[in-house]
Amino acid sequence: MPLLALNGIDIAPVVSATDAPKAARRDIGDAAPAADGTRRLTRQARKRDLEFETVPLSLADALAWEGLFLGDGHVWSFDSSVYSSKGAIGSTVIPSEIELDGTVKKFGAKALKVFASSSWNGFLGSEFDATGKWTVAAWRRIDAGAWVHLVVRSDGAKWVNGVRNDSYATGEIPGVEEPFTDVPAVVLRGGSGTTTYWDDVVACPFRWLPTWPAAVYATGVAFSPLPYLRATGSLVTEAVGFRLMLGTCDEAELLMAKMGGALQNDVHKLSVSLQEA
Amino acid sequence: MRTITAAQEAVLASGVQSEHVRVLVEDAGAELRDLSDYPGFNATTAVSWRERVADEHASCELQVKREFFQLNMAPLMANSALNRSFDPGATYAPFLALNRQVVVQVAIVPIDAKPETGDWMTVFHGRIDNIDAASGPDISISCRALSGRLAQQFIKTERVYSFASVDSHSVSLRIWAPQIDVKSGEYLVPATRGEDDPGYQKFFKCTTDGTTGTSEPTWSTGTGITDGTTEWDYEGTTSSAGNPVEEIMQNLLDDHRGPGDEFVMLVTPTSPLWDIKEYLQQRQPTWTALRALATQIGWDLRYKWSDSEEEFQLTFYDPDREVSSPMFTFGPNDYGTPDRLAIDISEIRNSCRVIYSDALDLWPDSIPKRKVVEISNLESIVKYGELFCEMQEEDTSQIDSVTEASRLANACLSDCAEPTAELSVPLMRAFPWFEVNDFVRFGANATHFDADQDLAVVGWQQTFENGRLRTRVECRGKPTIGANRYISRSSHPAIPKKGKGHQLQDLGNSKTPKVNIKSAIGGTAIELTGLLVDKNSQPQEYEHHVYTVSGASLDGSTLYTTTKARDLTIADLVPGEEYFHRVVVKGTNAERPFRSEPTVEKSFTAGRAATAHLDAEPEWGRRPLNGGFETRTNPDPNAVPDHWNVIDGDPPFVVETDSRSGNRALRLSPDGGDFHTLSDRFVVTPGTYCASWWINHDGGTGEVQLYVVFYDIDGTETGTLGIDTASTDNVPTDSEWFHRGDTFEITAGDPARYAAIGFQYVSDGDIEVLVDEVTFERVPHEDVPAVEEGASRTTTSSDFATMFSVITKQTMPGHRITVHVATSLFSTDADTGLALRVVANYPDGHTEASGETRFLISDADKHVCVGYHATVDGWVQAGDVTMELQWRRYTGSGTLTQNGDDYTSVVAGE
Repeated sequence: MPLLALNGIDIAPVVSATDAPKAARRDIGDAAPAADGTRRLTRQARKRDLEFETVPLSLADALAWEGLFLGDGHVWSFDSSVYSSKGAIGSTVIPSEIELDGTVKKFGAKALKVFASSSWNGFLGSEFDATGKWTVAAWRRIDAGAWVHLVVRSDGAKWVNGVRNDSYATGEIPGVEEPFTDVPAVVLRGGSGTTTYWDDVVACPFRWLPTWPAAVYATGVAFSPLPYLRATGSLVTEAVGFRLMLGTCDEAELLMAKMGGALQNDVHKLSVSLQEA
Repeated sequence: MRTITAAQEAVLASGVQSEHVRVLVEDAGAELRDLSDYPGFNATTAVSWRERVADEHASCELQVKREFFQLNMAPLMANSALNRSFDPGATYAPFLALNRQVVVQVAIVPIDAKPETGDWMTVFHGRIDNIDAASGPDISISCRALSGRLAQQFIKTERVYSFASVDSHSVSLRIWAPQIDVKSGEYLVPATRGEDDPGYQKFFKCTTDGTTGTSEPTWSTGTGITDGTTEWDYEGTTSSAGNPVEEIMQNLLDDHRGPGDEFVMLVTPTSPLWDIKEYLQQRQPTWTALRALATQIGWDLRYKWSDSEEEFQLTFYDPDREVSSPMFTFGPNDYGTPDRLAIDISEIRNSCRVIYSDALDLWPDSIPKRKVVEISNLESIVKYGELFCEMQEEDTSQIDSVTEASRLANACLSDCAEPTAELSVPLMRAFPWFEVNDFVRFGANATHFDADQDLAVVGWQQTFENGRLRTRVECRGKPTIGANRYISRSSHPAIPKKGKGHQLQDLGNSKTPKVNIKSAIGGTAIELTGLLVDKNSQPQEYEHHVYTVSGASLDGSTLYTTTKARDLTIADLVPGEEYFHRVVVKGTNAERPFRSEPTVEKSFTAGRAATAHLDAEPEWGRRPLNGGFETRTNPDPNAVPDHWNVIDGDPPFVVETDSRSGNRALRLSPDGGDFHTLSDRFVVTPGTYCASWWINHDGGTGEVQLYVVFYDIDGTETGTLGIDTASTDNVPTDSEWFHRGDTFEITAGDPARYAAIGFQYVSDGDIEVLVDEVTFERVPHEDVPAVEEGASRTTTSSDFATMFSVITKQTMPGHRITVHVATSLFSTDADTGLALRVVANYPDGHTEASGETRFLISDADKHVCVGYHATVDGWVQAGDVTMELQWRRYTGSGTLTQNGDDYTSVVAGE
């Protein structure tokens, strides 16, 4: 078990062991003296908070990690609506074209059912750019076929069930497009003559690192409703399966360092704080 | 206090606890949504709810996080998922909106535990009154308990309450008015429902939606009474016996629900056994009307939790002012440092006066007497000095007996005699079970008090913030409905409330008016003088009492009238009867009502009332009233004179000053058509009558007839009789007055009992006449029997001897009788003196003679004509009087000879 994983992505490789990592406890409740001095306690919950700094990271890696810690992006669970966990709007349900289906689903209550020749758009904010950097991860099933975990990156890299396969092009793959001028959206299509089911769709305005798709696939559970992060690992889950945490990344220390054999002047060290929701 | 479950008791006993709060808000689809998860994030920043005795509405303040990325709760964010119920195709309908329901629930569970479904207890249920979407990063929401809706709901229609019951349940009544909309099932009381009206003591039920008509229908005990476009069925009789107050309050709740308002059931755990009497509910908020009823007897009305029904219910209850054992004990380790332990004298009242109108003791004019109940709390007075308050109930207040007034005063003293609290203390652990008027014990803490304090909860506040629920409680002596309720109702005796006069008891007035009584046209005039009393005094009404037994006590039977004028004419008293009069002055003095002592009793004898007040037929039966056209009340110059009536045609009357009698006469101008007028009717009896008129022809041609109409005992016309027809033939156009008329007889068998005299045009023309002094008179005498015929009478005596006798029937008692004699006689010698006199022989045998009249006959044997008349007083009763003409020779020597009655005429009569 990793020390701490966020949505299955082990963060141990980037946590600096020397820069004062801290695991704090936070009580929800109160302990105060009564009129006669007796100390009285109420407590609803006990929360975990973590603080640490990363090891020096290249700019690309730093942006990806920062995006992960902050919970950048959207997650569509399709469990009760076509809105993302942050309220991003999706195409309206139209019977026989786009439906929320409760019988065929990967996680939760429902999945998105896109009929043949139809497509669904999940509209994204301006932080996304169809020609920029993005990653879309989704579970897809064609007709009665098996659920397949797809991760597509803006640079064309693809992962199928966690295995890199850039040439994978069979059937429909998700991606960020601009179905309307200057309106980026994640587009999910129905196949040609086939009904396609989509579930647990994640769209991030940055490129995932190559090791992440396999880690996410391996969790076997739904992606957390961003910006909440599903934290697991021995550091936080001694008594519960997981904790939902909110991350902040206040500081990014710029370093000049030799990395990959070359001197880089944009090496980052991130100060990260994770607080239990 | 709310029930503490066994599980919660176990948590309390553990000394530590975990406190959870969640807020449910009604969304556009009328679903209650949990703010901690439905929005996609936990939106509850802070929740605070509170209740105070002084405020009957529990309230709640919410701070919710406005937005979380694109999930936005601001009502004007039309594209937020929350405002489209998470369906982009749905119509925009804000998640948060005014008047939506808000439910706050609390779970108290063991420390570190998460609440299960059954752990939640509802602690607030209300509706949103205010939303501020720009409270920093939050949306601030204010809510009031469900009673807040009743405070917004308005009684738009006035109805009469406690006046009728159906199936033993009180129902409210609309009052009939023209063209009002009514609905099937509504009840109604007629607008005209006096004792003589068909609507008296009846009420009806509407069977058809519609609008009432322009005039009130004739009410009956039937069904299907049509009224405009609606219909009514008779339902039953009204009753003024009164109905329980809780029933009336339920009526108010049922009657004034607006569209969409839910049915509200009033829960009264124990009836106050207080009956409300008939009253008209004014237009005001429903809650104001309900509270006004509830607090009159010191009871409380608010929403309280019902364990059995698992909801907040509108509860009408008596705060247990006699409570002695605490419901819960907070040890010194259960509460924090009190931040207020103050007492204030300003809200103490220990002497209370209630002034009310006693419905069972009325003044003569049916206004209830103002009475006073005074109750004080000596224990409190000894401690704090006397602190007085006075509550003046309105005339129409339901507090109208000494029992009810005493109950109010006692409730006031119970609530106000001890200082208003005030222990304000935070509790160490949240305690969500509080209700106002709970009675709880705070253990001695050796700092603020060294003995346990048993206090009533006057207010509490629960605040949930940062995951922590805190409870603050305010307490005072005993359960109450709040001292301020009474203090706000009380008045300083010298300073009336703004816009309101004092409702004090009636005070006396230092002076009473002087009363002058005199006869006047139209009856007896009463004039009040000497009314100038204190400069602030303003008499408003005078209560006149007129009665026939000296010293009678003044009550409704002696009350003649209540007037605002200083002068009064009493018209309908019995002439000649002795009456007594007293007057009571009512008014205000420096805005305080007063009622003077009655004036000294004055007696007077009623004079003859004006003709207008009496029936002309029996009282003035001898001739047409106003036959000389002297009076005409109506100032219109063409109006009909008093006691004359137009039967046909327009009244062409002109009363002029050119007259034969008095100073007025009637000008009849042709109107080009029929004209027919009659006097008021008068009484006739069998006998001989003479009808006459004075007439003056003033131009034109035509005929005008004087005639008489007869009526039988039932007033049915039995016939007419023409008396005289004036035309240019017999009344020349010379502007002279002619007296014309005729006699006629009403025989003993004639059915005529009444008659009227009048005139009419009998032929078209333009004749214009003046008429005056129309008379209808009984001819007073009967025919005088002829004197002896052929007899020759002589006398030489110097003493009176009877020449002849005539018998006259005195038809009118007491009338003087006059005998007119014209005869011829002669004397055998010249220069013989003749003396004549008349002697009346009355039925009782006594006689009376007139003075003698002398004639000197100069020539011998030569007939001379003698004209003579004499008058004697009549007898006191009607009866035959024999009149003797007596003669004698007073000088000379001739023999006086009268030859029969060849040349004699005798007329005797009244």
